[in-house]
Amino acid sequence: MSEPILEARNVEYAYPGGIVGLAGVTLAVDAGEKLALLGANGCGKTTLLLSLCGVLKPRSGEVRLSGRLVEYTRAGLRNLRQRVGTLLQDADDQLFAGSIYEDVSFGPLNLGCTEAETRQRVEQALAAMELTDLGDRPPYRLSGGQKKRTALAGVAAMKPAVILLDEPTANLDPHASTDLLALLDQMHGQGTTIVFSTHDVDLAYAWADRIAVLDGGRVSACGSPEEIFGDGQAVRGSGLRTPWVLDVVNALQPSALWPSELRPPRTPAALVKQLAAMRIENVR
Amino acid sequence: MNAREIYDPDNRWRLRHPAEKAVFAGGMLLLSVAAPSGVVLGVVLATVTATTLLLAAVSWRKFAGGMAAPFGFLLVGAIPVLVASGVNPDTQEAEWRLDVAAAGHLVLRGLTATACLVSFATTTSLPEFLGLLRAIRCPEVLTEWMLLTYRFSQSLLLTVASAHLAQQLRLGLGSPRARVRAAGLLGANLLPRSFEKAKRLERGLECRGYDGQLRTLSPRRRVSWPVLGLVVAVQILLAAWAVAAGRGNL
Repeated sequence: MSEPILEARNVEYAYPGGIVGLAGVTLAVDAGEKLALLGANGCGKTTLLLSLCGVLKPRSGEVRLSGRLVEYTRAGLRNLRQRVGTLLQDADDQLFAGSIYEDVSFGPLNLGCTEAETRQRVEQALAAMELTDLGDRPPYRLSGGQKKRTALAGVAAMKPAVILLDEPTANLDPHASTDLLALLDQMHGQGTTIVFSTHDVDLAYAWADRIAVLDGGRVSACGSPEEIFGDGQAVRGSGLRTPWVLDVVNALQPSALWPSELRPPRTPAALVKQLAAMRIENVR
Repeated sequence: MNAREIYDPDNRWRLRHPAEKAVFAGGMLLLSVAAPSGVVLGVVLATVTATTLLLAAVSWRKFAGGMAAPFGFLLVGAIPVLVASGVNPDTQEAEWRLDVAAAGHLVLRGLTATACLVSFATTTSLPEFLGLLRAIRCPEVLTEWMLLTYRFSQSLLLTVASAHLAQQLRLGLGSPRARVRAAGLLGANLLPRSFEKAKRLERGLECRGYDGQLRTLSPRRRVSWPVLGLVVAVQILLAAWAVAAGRGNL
């Protein structure tokens, strides 16, 4: 079994005033997977992401990158951020420069890239996020979706092996969410590991390879989307619900409209396809 | 919701090298300060205004908006020149006179100089200006400070706008008394909110490898030497005319 690319072992963190953020989280992220951190508000998702990228230093426990303990020194954090990029929930918290082009160049320059390499990375990232024509615009003049894509371009230009995303689709309209997920799929297809926090059960169920449920600063369950939502036990009591695709399947099962041996689909499109196929079967 | 700024992002010169715009505005500014004749000042003012509005296609609202406040100050400042009072040394009596020509000349000169600055401000974004400052080796601490001031002023204005809207929606501005209270609350909360915002921005930058220095690169632009040559040639012609007009006056 290969070593996890990023790992938290018994990580504990408390905010000033003794508010518990993480109460002993152990979680391993495998290279190339899409892992969802699922949980209700205040369960510790953001705290865990900030601990994994080295912004918050755990009170106890350890964070490991490719098996090596993360050191909270300048060099250690530089190495961590070279390989682990982070997209915060509010893109405005990450954008500071006067123009998009300048903002995206910030990360590569911090990694010590030369001017030529930085320009190449910036142009590639802007093209990938479909922002080339907006390079001169100041970030505050952009829409929410464009800001998010700009922040993601800033992360992508650093070419990290792992991207941590805090509520990536929060405050985005459905179209902008779909666009962003398509861009993330593209990055994932190129080998980037993706860890994202969300309370959107439909998104986690449809998009993640694996889901870790957080509750009260702990990982209460971890497994494939089918395992997590299969009997509803894992999410019960954590302020979450089952995905609506599963609700439809569960509603159809008692009346035998959905055969119990048939595996439930994960996306609305797959559900519609399956229902259409079953209808054709019945007509025959 | 966007914070207000004088720069017009739709102007036709937005992709021109900032050095070209700086030479145009700076040269015209020098002429407006040095030209002795009102006619030359008028021609400089007309040239700058026409170039900015017609060639650079800056919105006239933006241009007029940029000129309005300085024009007001100029008018107020010209009053003491317009109405000169004093004691006549021969008669020892107080007297006053109107000097319309001197006041008009002062207003015209001030207006021309302002138009040059507004032309530069409406056609050049702050990032471009900062790039220009970096190119002429302006100390980094100054450019970073300007950039952060700009970013935070935008962010602060947005915070004020959203807080103001929130107050308005809950009838917080219904009476003069409520307005005063709302303004007080807004003022009191602005600093903690700005501090919180600054902390979150620092965290965001930390995620991107921030180590205390804000290093960025601007998009590459080439100076158009023919355009620069034309600008300088026009300015030399105007300067020569100004010198000739000055001698004629003497």
